[in-house]
Amino acid sequence: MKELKTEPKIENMEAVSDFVESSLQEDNCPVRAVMKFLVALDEMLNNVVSYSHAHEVDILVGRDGKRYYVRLEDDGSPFDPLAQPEPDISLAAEDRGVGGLGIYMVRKSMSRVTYLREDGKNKLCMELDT
Amino acid sequence: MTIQDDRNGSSLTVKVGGRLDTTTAPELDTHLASALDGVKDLVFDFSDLEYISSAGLRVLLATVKRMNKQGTMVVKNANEIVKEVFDVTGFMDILNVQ
Repeated sequence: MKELKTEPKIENMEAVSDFVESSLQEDNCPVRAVMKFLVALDEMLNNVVSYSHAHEVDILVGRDGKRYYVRLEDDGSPFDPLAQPEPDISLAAEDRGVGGLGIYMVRKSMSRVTYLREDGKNKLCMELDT
Repeated sequence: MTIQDDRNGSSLTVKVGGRLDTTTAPELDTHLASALDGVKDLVFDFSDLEYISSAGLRVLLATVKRMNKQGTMVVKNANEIVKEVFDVTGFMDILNVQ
């Protein structure tokens, strides 16, 4: 497992993305799964950066057989992304907003997403079976 | 991310390459704000686009709303990852994806 600790700031997002990409590649994660993880990471890390008021975010990347995972742990305000309402994706362009779309995409594209509030931290685990 | 414009009268092809995500989407948004003036036929060429996140979708949604008023908008050459994002989010029905 590889780990990176950083301050949740927008200017650090690219470095985190590069870290997750190279870590998954070193673990021989299929390209398609890497791309899905990077999209999911962008959504979830952006939530931490924008709303959590966290001082630090811990990014953990690893695999267990054919199951790959990216975990985000932050010391910000409690936020369960899985408890958010799903957006109405059937509306026409004029009536569409983009609220909640990111989290929805992550839930649809990952094999499993779990959230846990523990030790004063938000712990989000995104998993893909390959 | 790279942005390349190919303008021909009131037709504009915008070729976007790399990653369209939280970090890069604002740049595309700013670019389009002025580039779309007077454009009737807009084409997004996504042949070099690696992936798109919801920040990118936000820009596409705002753009399709604007183009619905002033002309047409087509998305071309999106890869399978990008198409899957369109599919999952219902954007396949909103956008003209070719």
